[in-house]
Amino acid sequence: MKGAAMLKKFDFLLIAFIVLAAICFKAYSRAAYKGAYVSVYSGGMLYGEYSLSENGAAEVVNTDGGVNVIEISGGFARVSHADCPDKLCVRQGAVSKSGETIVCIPNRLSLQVGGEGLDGITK
Amino acid sequence: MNDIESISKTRKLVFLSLLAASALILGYIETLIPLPSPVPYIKPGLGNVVVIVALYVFGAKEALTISLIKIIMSSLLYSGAAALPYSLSGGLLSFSVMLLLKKCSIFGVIGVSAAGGAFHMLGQIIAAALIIENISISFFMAPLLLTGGAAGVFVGLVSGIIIGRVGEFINHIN
Repeated sequence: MKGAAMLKKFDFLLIAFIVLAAICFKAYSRAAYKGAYVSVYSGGMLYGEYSLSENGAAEVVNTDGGVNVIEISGGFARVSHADCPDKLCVRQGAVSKSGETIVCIPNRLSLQVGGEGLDGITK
Repeated sequence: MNDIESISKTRKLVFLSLLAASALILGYIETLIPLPSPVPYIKPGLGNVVVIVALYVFGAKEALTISLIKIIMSSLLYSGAAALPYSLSGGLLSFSVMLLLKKCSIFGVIGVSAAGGAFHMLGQIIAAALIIENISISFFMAPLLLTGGAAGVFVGLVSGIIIGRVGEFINHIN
């Protein structure tokens, strides 16, 4: 179709809407408190829950045989080692706030921070 | 649309094949971009240039075919079959939205493409949320929507330029 219009008035509206939606999501996820524990899910089922105030490492053997090592230190949880090909879970860094998540899609592993710890006082 | 309908079937096939091949090259270029995304298999969708060009130059049927070829081939070539559900989800959602917006005729190529880019990401996130069974993916929504939208704007720009040129080219060869 020759000369299809590139930019029209409503385009700006559409882009503004997308930006607005993004801001809404940002605001929703900002209301995050420091987490108290991390829930580890393997293959969709709860594997275990670990307190963020206790340092340590746990090896998670997933349903397909994939292995991730979850490490907790200083109130942060991270995936310190994984045998998945892309290691994106390891590169994800550390999480500590309630709701924050790290996923390892090849191993079907996910860990999510839960609970509310207010200034170190945990329930 | 007259000019397009007048090109021979062979020529049309060649055009579409070239578009599909370009999509795969764009897919390869995408693998070279280090994307610091916490959710894997999420790609910005640069290859959508090809889908949009096909959509505006030829039509929905052709564009959908190109899109499916692109999704299946680039998954097999670059990301692995595991990426298929994400790519399919993102690609199909993005395509549906773009088709809808294009039919509305109040949006230009850039707007359609921006929405396509954002929904491409959205589709992939939804697939990830369903597969990982972890709903807290909303954390990733904000940056991914913006990235998708921004990529969409860029894709729209490039697509628009190409669409204009293709129109001239078709006039030339007829």
